[in-house]
Amino acid sequence: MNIQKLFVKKLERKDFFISAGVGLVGLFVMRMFPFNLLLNRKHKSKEKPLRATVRINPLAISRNKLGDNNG
Amino acid sequence: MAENLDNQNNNEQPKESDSNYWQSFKELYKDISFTEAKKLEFQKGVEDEFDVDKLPAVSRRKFLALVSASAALAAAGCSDYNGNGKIIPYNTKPEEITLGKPNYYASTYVDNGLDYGILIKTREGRPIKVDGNPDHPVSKGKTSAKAQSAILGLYDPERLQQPLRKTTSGNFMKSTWQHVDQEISKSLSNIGGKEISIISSKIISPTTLKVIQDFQQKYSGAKLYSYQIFNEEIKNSAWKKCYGSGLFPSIKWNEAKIILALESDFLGTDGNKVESSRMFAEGRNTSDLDNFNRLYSIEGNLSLTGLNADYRMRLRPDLQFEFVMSLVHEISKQGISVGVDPSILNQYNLYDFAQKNSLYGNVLQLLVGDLIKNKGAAIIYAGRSLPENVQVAVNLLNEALGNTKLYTQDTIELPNSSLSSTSDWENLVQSMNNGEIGAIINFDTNPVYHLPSDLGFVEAVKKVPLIVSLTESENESSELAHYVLPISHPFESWGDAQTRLGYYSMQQPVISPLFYTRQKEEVLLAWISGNYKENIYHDYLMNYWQSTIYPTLNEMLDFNRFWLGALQRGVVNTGNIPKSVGNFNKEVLVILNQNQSNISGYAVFLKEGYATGDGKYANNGWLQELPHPVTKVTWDNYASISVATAKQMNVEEKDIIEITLDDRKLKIPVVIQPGSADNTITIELGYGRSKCGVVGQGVGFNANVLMSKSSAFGPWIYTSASIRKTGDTYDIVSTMEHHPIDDPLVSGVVKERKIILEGTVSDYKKNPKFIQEQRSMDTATLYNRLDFPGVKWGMSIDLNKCTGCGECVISCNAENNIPVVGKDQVKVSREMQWMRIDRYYSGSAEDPKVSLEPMLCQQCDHAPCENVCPVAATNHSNDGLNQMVYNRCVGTRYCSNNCPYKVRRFNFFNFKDHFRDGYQESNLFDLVYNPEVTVRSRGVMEKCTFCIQRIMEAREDAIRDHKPLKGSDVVTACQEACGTSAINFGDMNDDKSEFYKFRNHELGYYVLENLNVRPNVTYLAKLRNTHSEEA
Amino acid sequence: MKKSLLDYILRVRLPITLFIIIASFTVTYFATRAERDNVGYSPVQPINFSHKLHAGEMKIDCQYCHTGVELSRHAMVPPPHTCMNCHSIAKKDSPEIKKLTAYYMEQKPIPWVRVHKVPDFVYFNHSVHVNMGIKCESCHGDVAQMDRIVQVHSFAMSACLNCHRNAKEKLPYLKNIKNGPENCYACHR
Repeated sequence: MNIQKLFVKKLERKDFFISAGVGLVGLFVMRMFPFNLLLNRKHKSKEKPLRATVRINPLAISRNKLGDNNG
Repeated sequence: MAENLDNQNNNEQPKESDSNYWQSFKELYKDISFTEAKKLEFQKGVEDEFDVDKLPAVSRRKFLALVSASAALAAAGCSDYNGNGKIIPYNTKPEEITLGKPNYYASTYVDNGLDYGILIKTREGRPIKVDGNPDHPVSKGKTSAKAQSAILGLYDPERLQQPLRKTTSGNFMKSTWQHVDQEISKSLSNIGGKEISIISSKIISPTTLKVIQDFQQKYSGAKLYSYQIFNEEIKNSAWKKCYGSGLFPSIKWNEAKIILALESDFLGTDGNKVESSRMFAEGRNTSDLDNFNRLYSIEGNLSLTGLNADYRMRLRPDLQFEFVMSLVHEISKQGISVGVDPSILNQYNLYDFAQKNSLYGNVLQLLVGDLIKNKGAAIIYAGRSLPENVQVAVNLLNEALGNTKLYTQDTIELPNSSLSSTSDWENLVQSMNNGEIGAIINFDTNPVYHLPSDLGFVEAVKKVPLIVSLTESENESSELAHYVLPISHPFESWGDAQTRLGYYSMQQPVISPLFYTRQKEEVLLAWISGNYKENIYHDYLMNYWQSTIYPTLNEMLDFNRFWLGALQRGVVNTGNIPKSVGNFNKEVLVILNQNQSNISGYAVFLKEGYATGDGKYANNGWLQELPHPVTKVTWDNYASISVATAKQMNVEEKDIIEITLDDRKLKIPVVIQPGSADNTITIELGYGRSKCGVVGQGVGFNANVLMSKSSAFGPWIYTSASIRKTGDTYDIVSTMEHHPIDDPLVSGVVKERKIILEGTVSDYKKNPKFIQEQRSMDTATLYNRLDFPGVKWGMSIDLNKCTGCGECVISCNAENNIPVVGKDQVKVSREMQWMRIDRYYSGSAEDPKVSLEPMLCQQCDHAPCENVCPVAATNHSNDGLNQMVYNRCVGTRYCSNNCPYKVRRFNFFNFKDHFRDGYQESNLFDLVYNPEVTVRSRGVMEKCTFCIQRIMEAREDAIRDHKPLKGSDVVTACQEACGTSAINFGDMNDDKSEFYKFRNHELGYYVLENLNVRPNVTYLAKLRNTHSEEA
Repeated sequence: MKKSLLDYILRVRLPITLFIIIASFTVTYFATRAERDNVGYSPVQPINFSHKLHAGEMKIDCQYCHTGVELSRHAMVPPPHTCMNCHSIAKKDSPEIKKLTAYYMEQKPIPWVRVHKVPDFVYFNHSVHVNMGIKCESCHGDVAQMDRIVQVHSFAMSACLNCHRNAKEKLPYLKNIKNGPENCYACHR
């Protein structure tokens, strides 16, 4: 019975380390996989795109604000 | 022990109770197998299939452990971390842009026939703020609230983005410019002999006028009609009759010692408010008491000008003629020759009139005395709404008193650009009904909403076969149109303007059109020339200038250099000097010989809305939420009546009444206005739009229905109205309680608590320290006195100059990304404006005195808000500012609770999202935000920061230039916008600065000083210029 | 029996527990380094621009490209236009330059991956620091030796305050440097 228990215990230890190792490996694998690629796309497509372009009018002339105060 | 139950005697109970309980016969009879089975835990056979070695390796326990561990590890493994985002630079950076630094462009904003010189501040090509152009001779660096708010129109998500064409089913279909140009040009060419009516607002641009003339040449049936709901036509026509030619001149308000404003809101909506209020404030310098002007105001309803009057009397507008004639009589009695037939004058008597109409005889006596004593330095100004006879009488009075010195005859009107008369409109309507009109072009106008209903325009226009509406966004007129053509916003357009002799004002676009729009002149040019190319109007403008205007200017530079300079400066000086005022034509005085008309019933006075103008700005959230300068009402118009009239009508606040004028009816709620004349109802126009965009739709009541094309007193004053109480009520939302405080117990609270300190000019002359004597003494404090070496920021507000117009509020809104919250939130006091103008009445409810006090965060040295923040989100900086750090704030709101001035605003909702279902969340609207100021979300407290972004910018510039930071380098948004320069800002440690004088002014006081919070905003007490014999 | 249980606890369970605690702490520290203060972050850029070559070997001044740094809050990444000043001729056919030219011709901006960033509620002002004489290396490290930009300094608030409070020690090459502002409004408007 004792030896049986010992073997069971050894198996438990082995399982523990196997699962821990798999977990660590999985951790690093997951980190490399960019999940955000999947998530954001659905959200963004619903937003209405702004079909306006902001462009300075090339014929306009800019100036400096007058040096002294306005107030 | 087995008992023999059979042996029991039936008649006898057993002697002892039987404690042997049994469940089955096996137990009772002590079956051996049963007795053996009792010893075992489980029955035989239960464990037969249970084999430890055959069990699965993973138990439930283990499975759960594995699952949770893997979930935890997976969660630790995945990350939403997308780094620090991306940097997207320009592909080719425009030369003029330095990322992070603004660019300024000079331009012009046209509103109601006036040109306002503006400087538009842009960041990375987007205009974000509008201020005045310092080179503009009329604006001189200041601008109106409407010009400031115009920027919202540029980023209006509901703006029309492409041409629309009405299909046979009545719906609008999107189209292209090419398509509509083709179709419309064809229709116009095939118009036959019919008329093409162009309906425009007053045209003040010489080039636009030329475009229309070219159009008229190409299409011979074209005719121009123009209208402006609020105009100076009566004034101008009276002037022509009096002086032979010209328009009503500009007034030198700054040289007037006495001003009598008759039903005239010259500090508000009547005329060029930017110029008038600046000049008026020049005459109210506390350092120059001998030239302090005195304002008398006689009007029917408390207006912005009435708020600032030294003496005010109430008179219904239809009685003004009688009053002026009585005044003329009185003045002639004092020895001034007026040249009117005595038999006419003798019908009028000033003091009898005063008695009959509850005016103060003693004040009138002072008025007459003042006018005569200050001959040549006084001005009597009749409002533009008053009928012609009043205008003539007033002109006569000014002429007789020699006040013509204060006129500058420089106002001009472009040739052939005068507004159409009532008969012109009647003819047009008749022609429409007869089918003689082939096309109507709404040239950025909305006649269906604006024109008086009894003209019959709406029914007639439906008969016209081709209606084209050129407009920025959909309105009531474009709904009836066949083609709705989107025009560019003024900030995307070229132009010029001329309203005065001395200068032209230039308009240039600061951004290329955001959408598929064209300027309205370009649309016409495309139909004239048959083809459109980009910048067609820019080229046309340059050509017109080069050929027609530039030669008249005697410039030394060649045209191209001149043109660049003109655009840069925004203004071209012509060097023309004003003409002299002509001679008074005595023959006009026959107009004064009329029988006194019968005044009965209620007088109805229609005014221009402070917020909405004539309705053009109804869709502008900033303006709608700007509290009315007098009643502080937002998001509505109302019928303003006096206390006595309300009693007479038996109505209370917010009751809806029905006003009937002839056959025109209007239901509108009532607001009781202290200081309103009896039996006078005043209503602001520009509300009740039925089609204007989600912000303004249905806001207020459309009082245009009360207008008539013909009225004895002009288009804005009506008499003999009848009132009916409907019994309904309507919620009017105001940011200030405005029932007057007439409870004697609390009537002194404003003065007791030192919220307002004021006096009169004579008080100040007698005892310059009279305000200082009323201030609290410096009380002891638990805290150590904080030291502020270096710069310490402070602000001063001169209440003598503050007229209460609210431009500072709009400027602050624009600069600091303040959201619009809507009527329902303003109702629960959640308006987000960092600055407000408090208005206090004092005296009686019928004739109150009014005191104004702009209130903003006082940046207290011993700020009560700083102690109570549990997360230290608000604390004090070493340059004297109370800092509000949004990222630390958790939303406890204890700071707002503790603030005695109640200037802290809490974001109860994400108002960008909340107002009108996220109208402010659209991508286009986001472009208006100032990138230097955080856009706050739900749950944070905000308040005035003394424009820290501008302080930081000035600090940055000072470090870059290796100069010390001076207080005068920083101009806050409110200071920049204030038309009267009432606000001053600077470094109180710099004793050589201008600001230092204000900080230590003899009239300076602090609000709620006795609370010992040591505020840093100094208020200069208001001095009313009343006569010293008065109390 | 009790003695061996205690022994078992001390010899087996205690070290394992301690090991797990320390290991998880260490892992978390490094795994979240990026989100906390970003030190060591060196992402791959769309074009393999080498500061070591341009700023180091060729000694091109930082401000030739990053022009805004003396004038405004933002340092400004140069548009492809600036690169094309030289690269319309220099090394035209190298694959990276071909990528650059493609972006320029298509009028598209280059989507650089941002390395140095402060949170949105911080309004950092470059020109104030540069105009005081602070060198780029003090915060960005020795960029002239970096093939690919890596963040060497923490950009957490504590790092900023550290320098603001001890300016003389941290910036010994500036003789008259004063301590920087400590008040909230200096950065958090």
